Amino acid sequence: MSEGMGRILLAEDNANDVELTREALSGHNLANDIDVVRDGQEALEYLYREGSYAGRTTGDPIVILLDLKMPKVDGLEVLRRVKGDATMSHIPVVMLTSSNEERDLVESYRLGVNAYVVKPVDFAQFVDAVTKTGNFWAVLNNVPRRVPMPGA
Amino acid sequence: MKALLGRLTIPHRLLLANTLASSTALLVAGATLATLDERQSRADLIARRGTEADMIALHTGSALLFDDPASARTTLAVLKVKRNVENACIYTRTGRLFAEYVSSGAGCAPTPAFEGGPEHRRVGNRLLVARPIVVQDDRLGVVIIESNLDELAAHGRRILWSGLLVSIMAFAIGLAVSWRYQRSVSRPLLDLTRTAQDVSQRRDYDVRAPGPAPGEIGILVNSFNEMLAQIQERDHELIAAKSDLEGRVAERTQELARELGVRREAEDEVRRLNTALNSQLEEVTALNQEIESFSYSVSHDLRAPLRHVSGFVDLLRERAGDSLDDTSRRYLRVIAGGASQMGCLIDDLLAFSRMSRVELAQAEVPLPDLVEEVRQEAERGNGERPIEWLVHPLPRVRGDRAMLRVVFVNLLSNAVKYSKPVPAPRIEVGWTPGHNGQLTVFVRDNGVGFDMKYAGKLFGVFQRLHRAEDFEGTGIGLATVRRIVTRHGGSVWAESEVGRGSTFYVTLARTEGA
Repeated sequence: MSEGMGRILLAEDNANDVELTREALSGHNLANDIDVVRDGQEALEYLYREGSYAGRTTGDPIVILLDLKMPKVDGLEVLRRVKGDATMSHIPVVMLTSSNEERDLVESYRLGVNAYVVKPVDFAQFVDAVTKTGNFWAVLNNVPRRVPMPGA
Repeated sequence: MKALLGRLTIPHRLLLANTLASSTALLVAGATLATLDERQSRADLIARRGTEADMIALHTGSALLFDDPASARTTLAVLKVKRNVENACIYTRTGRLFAEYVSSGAGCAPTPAFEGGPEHRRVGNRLLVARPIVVQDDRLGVVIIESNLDELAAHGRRILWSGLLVSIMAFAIGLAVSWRYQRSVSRPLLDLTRTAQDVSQRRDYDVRAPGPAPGEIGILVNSFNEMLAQIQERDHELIAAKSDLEGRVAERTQELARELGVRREAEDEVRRLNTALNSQLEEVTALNQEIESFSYSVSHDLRAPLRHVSGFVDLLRERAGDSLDDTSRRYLRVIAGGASQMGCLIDDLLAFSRMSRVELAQAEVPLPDLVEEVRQEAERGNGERPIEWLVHPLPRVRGDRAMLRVVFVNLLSNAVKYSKPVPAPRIEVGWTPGHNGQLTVFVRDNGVGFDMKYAGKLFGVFQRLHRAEDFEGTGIGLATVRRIVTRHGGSVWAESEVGRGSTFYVTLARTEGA
């Protein structure tokens, strides 16, 4: 994957899950393009180039993988902010979550999520789900590029 | 007078009437008799005086003839014995006073008061009687005897007094008789009056006017008594009806009070129950919320560590698998299997809990589509041996499609699962009509079956009749089925025989017109 393909933003508070997700994506050469933030607050700072991400030079991520339950600002709130902002709403957002609670699913789609993936307990299935998602949004999906990327 | 009469009692009135009647009769009779007697007395007096005058005329004819007044006077003197004769006068044919007899009074008038013939006249209280003195058809003079009427008056007085006496006696006797007689009339009337007063004042209908009484009064008394008897009868009926009515009113009042009490108790009970229910509802709601947040946490937080176990075991196997011995690799498989099994348990438990909490979305569900969809899904879990499916035409039912889907997923996947060891697996899905708009759907397999001894445990959570090594599963599926069917108002049961397959029955509500 070249720089021009853009980066994947993974918002996940659990280090184990971060590692497993990295491992799952690494099989498809996507691991090097992942930026990880550890909560919703950080995700928003990353997206809006604020705080510690004020000097970020990379363009908007090609896909955001959002954990639902996170400290400070949860995944649903990040989703709401992204989809409510005209400059961000084009970025595909995938919910990666332990929960298959219907209310979360319903709320996510109401807020405009692009995909909702329940992380299976079985690692093989987990890898399958994550790589498929990552591949689709990072490689196959043709995202409209409204915001020009500085590196392009 | 009328007022006075009005105040008199009946006996007095009767007495008065009788007395008046008898007195009037007596008076009329007395007066008549007295009048007749007076006339008779006068006639007698006139006749007597006439006779005396005739006698004197007879004896004084010669004295006149011979002009001998002395002889005439002697003859006249016989009148001395007659006390009432006041004077007697003899006049000649020429009207000259010839002889006179004077007892009292003014004496004879110089000329005669009569012309000649026998006649009499009453002047004041004097009676004058004249007779001619005739000798050989020759009228020589006239004799006039003048007498007072004292005799008549005395007789009249006598008659009056005796009449009065007789009247008084007759009156007294009449009064006595009348008094006696009026009692026979007035006593029944008085009795009647008293009885009527008693009745009206004391409302005592037991009294009776004493009888018997004669005639119309008797009829009156009898009628009155009969009337009293009727009134008494009616009074008794009225009293009986009244007491009956009062009794019934009292009874009804008691009943009402009882009913009211019962109702009040019932209302209190209802209120108490409502309060209890409300607080229970609150508890249940709170509990539900707790369960919900609990299962939410479970679904998020409990699955994550399992995923980590499973994930890192896999990574470990990938990285170091070749350097490990068989036992270590088996350990890794067991760890991964345990984590996976735990994940399934959590998923099933969450599904089970969700089935109890989620609201039913009632709709018309076409069973053929649903069953076919589920059948294809279940077929994927099948082993090598092909299953012979026999699905009868199924009706439409009322229920929550998603939940009913869970029911059939469990029933069909169970049927597939427990038919795997059988050489020729055969699964039948059909239905039979039931009562009260219900129908029974059955799923029959020819699988391993189970011992009916344990049928009661079949639908409990975590209850399994087979070892996990033989048949994978969490033991929650049938519990979920029962919960869903129960929430749909139906029931679920099973029939089986070890080695000959099982049949699961589910009652569901059929749609209108289905």
